[in-house]
Amino acid sequence: MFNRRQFLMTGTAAAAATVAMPAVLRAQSGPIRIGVITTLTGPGQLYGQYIKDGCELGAAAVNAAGGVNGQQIELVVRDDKNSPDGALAAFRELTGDGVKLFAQGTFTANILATLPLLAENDVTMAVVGASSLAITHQNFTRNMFRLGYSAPMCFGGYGYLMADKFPEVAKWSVLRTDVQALKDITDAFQNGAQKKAKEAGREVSFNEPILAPVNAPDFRNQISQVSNSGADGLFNCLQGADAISYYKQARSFELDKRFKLLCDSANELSIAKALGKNMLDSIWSWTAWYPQGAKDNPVSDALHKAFVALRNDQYPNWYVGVAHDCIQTLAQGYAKAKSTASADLIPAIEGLSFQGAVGTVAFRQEDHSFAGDLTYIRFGRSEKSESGWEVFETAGLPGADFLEPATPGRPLN
Amino acid sequence: MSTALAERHTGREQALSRVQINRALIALAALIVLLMPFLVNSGLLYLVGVTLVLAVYSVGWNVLFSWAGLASFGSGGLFCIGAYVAALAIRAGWGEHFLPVIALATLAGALVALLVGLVALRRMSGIFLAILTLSLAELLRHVLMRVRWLGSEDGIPNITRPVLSFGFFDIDLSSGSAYYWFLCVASAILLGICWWLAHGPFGRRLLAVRHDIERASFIGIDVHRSRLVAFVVSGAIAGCAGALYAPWAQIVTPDLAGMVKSTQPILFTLLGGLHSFWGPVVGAFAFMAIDYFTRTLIGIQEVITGGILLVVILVFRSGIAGGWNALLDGALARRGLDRALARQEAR
Amino acid sequence: MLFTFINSLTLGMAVFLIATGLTLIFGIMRILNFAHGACFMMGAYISSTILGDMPGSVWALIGAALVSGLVVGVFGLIVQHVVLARLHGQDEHFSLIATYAVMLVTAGAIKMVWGLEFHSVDPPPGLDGGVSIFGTFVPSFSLFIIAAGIAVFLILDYVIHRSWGGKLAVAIARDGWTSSLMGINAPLGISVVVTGSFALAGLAGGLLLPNQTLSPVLGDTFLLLAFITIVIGGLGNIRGAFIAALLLAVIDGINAWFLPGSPGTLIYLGMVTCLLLWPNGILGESRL
Repeated sequence: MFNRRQFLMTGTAAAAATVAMPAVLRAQSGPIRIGVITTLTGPGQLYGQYIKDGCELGAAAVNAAGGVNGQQIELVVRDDKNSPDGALAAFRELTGDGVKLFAQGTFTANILATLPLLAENDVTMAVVGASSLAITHQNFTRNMFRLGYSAPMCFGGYGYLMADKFPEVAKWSVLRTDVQALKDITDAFQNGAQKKAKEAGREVSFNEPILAPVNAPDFRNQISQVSNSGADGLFNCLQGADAISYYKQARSFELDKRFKLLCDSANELSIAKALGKNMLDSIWSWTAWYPQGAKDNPVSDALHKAFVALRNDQYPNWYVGVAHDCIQTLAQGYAKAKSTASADLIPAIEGLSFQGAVGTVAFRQEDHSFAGDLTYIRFGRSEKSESGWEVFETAGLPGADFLEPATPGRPLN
Repeated sequence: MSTALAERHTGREQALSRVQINRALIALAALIVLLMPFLVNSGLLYLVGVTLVLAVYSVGWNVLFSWAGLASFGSGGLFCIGAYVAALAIRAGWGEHFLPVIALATLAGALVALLVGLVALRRMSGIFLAILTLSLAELLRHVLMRVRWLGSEDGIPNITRPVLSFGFFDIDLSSGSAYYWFLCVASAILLGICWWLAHGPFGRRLLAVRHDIERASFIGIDVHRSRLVAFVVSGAIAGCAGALYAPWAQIVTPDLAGMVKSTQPILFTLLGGLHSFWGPVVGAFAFMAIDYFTRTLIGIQEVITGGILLVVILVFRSGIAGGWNALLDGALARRGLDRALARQEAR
Repeated sequence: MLFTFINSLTLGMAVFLIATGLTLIFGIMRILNFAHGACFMMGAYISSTILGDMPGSVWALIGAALVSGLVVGVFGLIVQHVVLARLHGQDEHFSLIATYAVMLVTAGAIKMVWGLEFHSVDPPPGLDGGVSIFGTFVPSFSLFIIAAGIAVFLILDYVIHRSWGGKLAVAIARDGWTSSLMGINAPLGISVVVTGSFALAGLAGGLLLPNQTLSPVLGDTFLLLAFITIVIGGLGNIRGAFIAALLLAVIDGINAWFLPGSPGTLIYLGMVTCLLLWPNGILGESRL
């Protein structure tokens, strides 16, 4: 047992040592803290919860392997309250407490709120999943790495893939809500499909997009417009609960019989999980992470097992994989730079290339865009499966081939 | 000294001392708010700054509500207009003339309120006015979400905090806590204007109208005009608060026109105290405190916020300010009684 | 054209089903019940728990909806006794905020009980297909919703304007003090109407369940539309709400037909116009 005097002396000695030690060593005294800011109230809560789970599993994986530089990772999770204000308050609170590493995700506006503050607070941030072009273009900051899928990359690739696989689909119908982000997505899809068709010497036409209100109770008028469009393919770009209400209400119109090809933007298996035995015959969707299709990836497999143990759900949302890899990115960058100062950490992460749950994780030097693998899945009703549906096939594309040109600091024209 | 006189004397002492205690409290609170940058970390400071703006905005709303008796559910729309005007002006490089920009935003809020008031106030009041203003704000939000030039649903980010230029000297609001103190000064001025409006002849006219329209018009008050002016003043304050908010948050989004922003002043006022000038301010800071201390309780925050609101409403019927005053009165009366008894015993 | 009209009518009747309870509680207590959407959602979740993924028959769906109505009605009775009755005689804005608080608590509790994931319940056999009317394909569940809306309207209209209990309720709503002088148990009457209003929210939740996706934002989807409906119709006025719901359907139909490029905007414009034309609602404000 120390007496008071001894204690004071040790304390002073420790303080002196702290001052004398270089930043690297000082950081090793405690756990390394990563701030996680995500949406845990309101409509985005479902996704925010997946991001939180993914980050926690990512940190647990690093800690189980002995931590980074001998330190354990400690996550500090904050709710952005579904508003830029909430994100800013959380960000400033954590930076005020000395947190230098951040992962932030879900809505673009909340991320755009914190981006201008990264450099002045010496913070390095991994953006979880957000797809908006603004983040890596006009609002780009070097302290940010976007582990997300830009619309031209993942939906341009999507359109390209569909035009490649289904040459018989010559006319497309598009359904979306009147929101800019979804317009970017449908435009990218159209460009991708038309690019491939042109390469193959074919013609692909797109109808004027059919618009639906956001968070609407009824989509039947839109459904009838869609089914009277005379198109062969349908690209559906509604999100979340809207999308599922739409598929439900469309069931009696037998959409799957009217179209040769149905494509959903990014709702992936949440459609099948909700519709169960009444799933559509067959539909494609983009996903960032489909663990059943990536059995050869040990990182993905381990994360999948951990998630099933945590939530008892075989089909995690893609955000789980991306959030996990965001924590991995920060941890690996820190392991390499041995410092949390952004001047050291940014070059370290720029040079990083490692296997994450979603495949190879690497960022483009100029604008810190993620240029990883793209995954698309086809799933639908199945009598064989107990759940009433199954995944039929997966297809992959190299994302780097479809990434838009880098214009950091300027909007993409 | 006769007993009766003594009692009257202590009575006056009590009445004075409640006001005095509250004045002292307000001064103390103002001092704490001013010293905040030295007391708390930047996260809490940001929240206090936002709360300050929202408090002023809510006081403006409450002048309309508690004095003129009109409930607007669309004040978020006017706040949003002010914020967008300031954001656009700064984006266009007018930041060094930030004071005229604030005036412009205030004017924009007032003008829109005038237009709405001219059409709506003569015809409707009560819940109909509430729903009309609610849907006008919602309409504005929908429009803002579609205008690409205004950033669509992601709004206008990267708003720089301005440097005020007065010709021969500059005030840099972008560094450290400078903008925070600017907010404090601006809030104090706006609160002063509201206090003067509410407690001057204009406020008394409004109260007369609220209590009895017929009698008020009988003694020569132009009811419609008084209400319209109150509506415009409230809109001007909302616009001004929006302009102050934009460089503080450094981002504005269409959600500012949404229902959440519009219901905030209502919540603050009722929680803080109805028909009380300082009620909305108390309510705003109480809400901030609830929000801040429950920030780590993820997933159950709604239930806690709702539960606290219910308890406050059921236990303190007249809001926190009313409850506090009643408490103070009770304590003072007891002390006064004790003193009177002690004096009697001594005699 | 006919198809668009029937779709819009479906939306109108769905909104009407939710608006009934809202207008009822306004009629007797003069408050806009913010918690109504959350109660609607609660009804839908309870029904889904009873039914599972696939209701056995139309009657199972209706039965589950009635049970949900009952449960939510009991919840309403508790809210009335614990919260609203205590605020009686106070500024009505307190009740408004109280319902806002009840909404927060209810929505939060629903998330804790049923989670955040999307769920879906299918239309029962017999209502999952479509029928052909004048050569136009019409989903049978749309017809079910329209029929349910009309049935609820007729029953309520009879109960309020023809039955003895309804007349008592109207008397209490018009002048609670005088009616209690005449020996009417006003607090009991109010409790019954509030319970009925909540029960209607639960019932609507159960009936519309196969039409919507279950998620914690379901309550918000309808609340603003239902507010608009009862305001256009004249607050507290069931007949007005019905007419307003029909009007809403027409406006939505016009929007879908002539302005497909800006869905959902005409409703707001229409409402503003209606309020300017009839500042107190189409049929005027009514105390039940």
